Amino acid sequence: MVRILLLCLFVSISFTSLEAKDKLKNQISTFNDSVKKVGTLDYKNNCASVSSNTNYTREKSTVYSKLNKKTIELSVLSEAEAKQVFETLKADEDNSFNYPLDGCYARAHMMASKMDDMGIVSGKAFVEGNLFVDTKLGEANWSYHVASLVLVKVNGKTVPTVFDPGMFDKPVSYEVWKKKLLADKRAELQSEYFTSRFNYDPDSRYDDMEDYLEDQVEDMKDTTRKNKTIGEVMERMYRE
Amino acid sequence: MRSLIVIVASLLFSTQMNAETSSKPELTDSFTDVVKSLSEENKTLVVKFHRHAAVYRVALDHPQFAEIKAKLENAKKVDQKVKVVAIIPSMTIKEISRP
Repeated sequence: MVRILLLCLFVSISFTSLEAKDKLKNQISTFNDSVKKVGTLDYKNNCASVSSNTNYTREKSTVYSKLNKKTIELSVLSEAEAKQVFETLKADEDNSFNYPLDGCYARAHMMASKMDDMGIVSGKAFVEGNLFVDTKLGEANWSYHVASLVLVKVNGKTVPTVFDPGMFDKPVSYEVWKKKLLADKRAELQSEYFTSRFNYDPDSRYDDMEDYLEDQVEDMKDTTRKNKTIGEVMERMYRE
Repeated sequence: MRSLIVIVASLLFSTQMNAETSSKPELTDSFTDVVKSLSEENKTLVVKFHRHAAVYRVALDHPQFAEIKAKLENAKKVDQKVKVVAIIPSMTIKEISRP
């Protein structure tokens, strides 16, 4: 009798496990189908630009980027303000910090747009090369990385500071950020440069841009939406 | 009776093991981009794109390795975009097609 009961229990557990696996498999299959249909918009077409009407009343200063010979104007924040802004960006539910393996260009663009809403003029810091970083989803190998850049006043000096909630849990100086990207023995630095907040990816590093391009904003929205979902599915997979 | 239980339990165990291996979930990402560079490293084809920062790879034992490599090389030559389906988080390319 005990054996029969044990057998029934085993059968029940087996079927429950199979059912859960099938459910997860179906969810992933549905997700994969929807991802295949999305794709990416053509970013090489020049669409009309998107206007931003924000008033920027904060103190500003500039950084010079040697590679692309650009002088970038940025807001200057106090350390306390920088921490507050970082926390606000990190908590942004529209962004895809839960999927750090790819899509940094879209995350950085979204952070720039959110900082516009806060009256902060940000820029972007790019590092190109062979980069390796440990993330919560495993090791990432990137050919470049980009994140948001502002200036932060520390002991009377303005320090180029990066907001990258996918890699750090607080604002860090540009030097600390770059050091982490190149910390792995296999890492190689090819180039480093700053751009304005309107430049979307490395291809636009020499472009003088004065506003966001509509097609890139659409690409940013699609990419962050898709990547956020991938991150959620992966978190569920790891849990189960 | 004991033999019967052993047989039934073995069958159930084997079914479960089979289900575990055959229904292993595979998560994929899909995007379009322009190929920036192609190189061979540790028996894999390393693919870098202009916009997507992650480094993607094609395993040498992929059944369509030659076909995928040719598609990527041709697209790179003419600076044409490709549609990529990649398995994540391994970032290995599964399919390449025209967008």
